[in-house]
Amino acid sequence: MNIEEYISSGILEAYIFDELSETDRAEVRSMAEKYPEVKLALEETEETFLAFTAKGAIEAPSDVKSKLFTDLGLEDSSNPKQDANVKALPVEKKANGFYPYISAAASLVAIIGIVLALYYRSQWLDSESRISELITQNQTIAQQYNVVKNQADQYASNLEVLRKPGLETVELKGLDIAPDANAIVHWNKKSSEVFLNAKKMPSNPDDLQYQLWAIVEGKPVDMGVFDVAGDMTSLIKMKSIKNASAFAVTLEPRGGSINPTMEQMYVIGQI
Amino acid sequence: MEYLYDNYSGALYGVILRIVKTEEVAQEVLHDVFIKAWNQISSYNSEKGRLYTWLVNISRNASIDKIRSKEIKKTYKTDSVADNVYVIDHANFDTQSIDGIGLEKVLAQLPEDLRFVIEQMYFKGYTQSEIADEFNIPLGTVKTRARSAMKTLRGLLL
Repeated sequence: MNIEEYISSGILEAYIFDELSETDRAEVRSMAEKYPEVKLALEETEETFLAFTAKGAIEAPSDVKSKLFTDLGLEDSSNPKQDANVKALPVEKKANGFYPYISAAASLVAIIGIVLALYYRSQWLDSESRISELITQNQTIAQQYNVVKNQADQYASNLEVLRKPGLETVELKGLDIAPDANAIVHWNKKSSEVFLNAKKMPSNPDDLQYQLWAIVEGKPVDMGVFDVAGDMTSLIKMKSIKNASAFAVTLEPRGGSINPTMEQMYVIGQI
Repeated sequence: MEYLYDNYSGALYGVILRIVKTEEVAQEVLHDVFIKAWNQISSYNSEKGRLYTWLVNISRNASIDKIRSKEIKKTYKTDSVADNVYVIDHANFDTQSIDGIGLEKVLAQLPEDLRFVIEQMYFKGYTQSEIADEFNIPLGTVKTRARSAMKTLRGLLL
């Protein structure tokens, strides 16, 4: 038999496509063993057949494999579904078991923190109000101290004036328009200085001012103006004068007048 | 077994799906083929051919048996691979259409008469003499066409 004819007869294709009976298959195999050309042609046909098959490959759904391996009682390493589930569950449980402790601890810390914050805030507000109270008290005391100190200073300076030698004290008594009014002139004849104690004079209105007059040879001489307000502790230093027979105080327009308004004379005192 | 499955299931599924045409049936056949292969692996004789070829032919025979069984026969009567292509392309559009098209593209490059013989042999499971009888083609012509179809395919594929 011609080998080329044999190869071209289609029998190799029939062999590869599994069309032949076992007898015919054995014959093809023996021909292939005898003739290298047949063997080569058979191998080439098989390669083509397999390449053709491979060209049409379509990936089978993975559940075919799972089912197949389950049915065969084999382990499917690429798809260990059940194993993963069995293992994954405890891991999940572990995570679920541990997480609440952390969150509970965190919550507890947060709650303690909030409580402490509120407590310290109230403490702080308390301290703050007490401090401002103390500051106010302190300021009040300081003011009172200043008042007392001023008074003490004034008394001290008053005392200085009064202790000097050659002092003539003249009491000015209230006239008809102010019977209760009273003033004292401390006149140092040596130095000619004149100090006025107006502690018992009524307060003057804002637009008017008291004016002290000295009567010298029957005529009034301006000794300066003053206001009566507050405690009037300090002695008011007036203008100096060498000779005088009397002192008087009238209420004049603010700034004083050249001549006294006689109807508005409050107090007068003879020397 | 896993090696066999991972290496050959794609090729075998492609063969089966082209023959039985529906994924559901194809998956069933693929499953049965591997069960059969597993059970008959001891009867496989490496001297008689390659394992791969053996598996492909088990798949082809199982698929052809399936479509020739009465229940399937009644439902599916389409005969040409072109129809199969349509089904496959749509059934596997998302994942495997490129591979599917690959094979059909190769087939489309064959002359009509050669393609017909290969389709009948490969996908219908007809023997060469069955094709000759069925389609009134001289047996010698069928044989020559089978031979040159495989040669042309070899040129296209290898």
